[in-house]
Amino acid sequence: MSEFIRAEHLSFSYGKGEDAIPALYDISLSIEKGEYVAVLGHNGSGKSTLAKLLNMILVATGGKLWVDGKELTDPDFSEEDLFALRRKVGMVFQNPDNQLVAGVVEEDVAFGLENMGVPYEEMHKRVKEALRLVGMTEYAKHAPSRLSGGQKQRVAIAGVLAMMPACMILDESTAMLDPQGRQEVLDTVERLHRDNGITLLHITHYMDEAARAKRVLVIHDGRIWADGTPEEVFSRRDELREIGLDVPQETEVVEILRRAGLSLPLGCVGTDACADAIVRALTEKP
Amino acid sequence: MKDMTLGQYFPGNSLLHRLDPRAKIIATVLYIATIFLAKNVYCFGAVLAVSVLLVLVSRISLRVVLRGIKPILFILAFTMIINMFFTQGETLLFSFWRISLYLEGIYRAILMTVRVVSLIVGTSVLLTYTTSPIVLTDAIESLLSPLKKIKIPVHDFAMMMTIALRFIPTLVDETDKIMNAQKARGADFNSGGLIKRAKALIPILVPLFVSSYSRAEELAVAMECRCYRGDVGRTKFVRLSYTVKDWLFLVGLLLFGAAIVLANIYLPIGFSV
Repeated sequence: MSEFIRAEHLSFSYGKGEDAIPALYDISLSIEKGEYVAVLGHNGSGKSTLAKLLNMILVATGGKLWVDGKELTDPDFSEEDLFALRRKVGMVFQNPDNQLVAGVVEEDVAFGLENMGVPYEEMHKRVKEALRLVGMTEYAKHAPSRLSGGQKQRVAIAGVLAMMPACMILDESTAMLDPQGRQEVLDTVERLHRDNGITLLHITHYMDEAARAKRVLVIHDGRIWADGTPEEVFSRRDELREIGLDVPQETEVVEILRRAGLSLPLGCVGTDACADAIVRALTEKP
Repeated sequence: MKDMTLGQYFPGNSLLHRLDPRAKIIATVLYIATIFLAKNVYCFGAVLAVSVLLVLVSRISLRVVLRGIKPILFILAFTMIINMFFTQGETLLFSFWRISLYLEGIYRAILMTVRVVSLIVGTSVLLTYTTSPIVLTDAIESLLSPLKKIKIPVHDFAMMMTIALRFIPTLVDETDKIMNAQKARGADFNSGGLIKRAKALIPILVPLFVSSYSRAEELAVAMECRCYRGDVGRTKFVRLSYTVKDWLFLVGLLLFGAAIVLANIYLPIGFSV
């Protein structure tokens, strides 16, 4: 495995001079190729700002940032480099309605490819494949406005996917969806992560979604507050509460039972794992 | 309400539906020109026959086509009356006080009506009823692309049109939501005079405008993330291509236009306008 994202003392402020509002301070982190990282934080914590730095919608105001070996904070970073970067790092946004451009699903999926100048035959092949991967083949000729939120979001994912990125960032892409839509989207991106080795960065404020990742990064007040496996992070329940975050419901249940005296592990994550732990604790007890 | 995005479009698989959209735009222009070239009774008869033929070929139900004429019925009736009573001619049919009706007036009124009706029927069947607005946008971009040479931003206009079409249903939904929200706060949109009703629209339009603005910003970022940089090094997903039937159709219309011109010259019989 090699390093895909590297940040050293990265900082960012909105605005300039005296009116500058700092959003990120001194962020240093490293993300490997093929990792599945959840970025957790409450509103205004700076988690979306971090995502926007990664494909240069915003440009860092301090520190250094590398994506796939290329330094983004290099003053010589050219426009061509920018398009190469955006091809590598795809982004899916929160509002499914505000990221679909064309009036037909397949044309929207093709939008990125059209911009990249992909030849006709290749483009049609890739659009088909991308729609197949997100399970939207039968809707290829539909108008986006007739789809459900989850379906629209899957179309948006297909649009990013067709560009064959190495990394996909979901910027609260599930926030506006109903439970079924959230499930659809997560299943889709997790399958892509598993089967195609796409590096997945999921920015969210849902604890249960963050728990599905292999690594959780908690951003609080513009700083990295915690970085570790979901088990490590969610074992700090009381501290998380203090900064306005929570732990997944099942972890909470296990924690309450543990405090009540059952012999349960600290920071149990995942419905199945928690259920197993509780069953074990109950059967062990005489 | 969501169907508004389709405009007048009726999906189908008739010959007219399958023609290249660019050919249809050119055909529409030819057809309009032909209608205005028509001068005598025979020509008008031919124009009307071709309009009917187009409707039949498009397989669009006659009811739909007639519904398209309904909004202009008043204007139609008005021009008919004006033409009838204000045309001076030789054959006086009827005179009362200062109003006199000539045979020529009646001819003229009928011909004008035929002209307007075939104009509306023909263009809507040729273009709006049988071509989806999305395809139409592609066709317009393709037809106007020579203008790129003189620095007219054809691609940008086409992109604006595409986005506008894409967002009509979204904005309709949003308007619905805002109206309901205002109604829940006691707003009344259905009573009072014209001015009062217009004023009642302000609390709808302002939030709609504000939200459209933030939508536009988000969309712009999303487009940039997908490497959009205007018309630079772009390829197209939809490839338009003329086929034999497009050429035959255009040649047919051209011949029809020529026939009308010849008929104007060699068939001066009947009343002409």
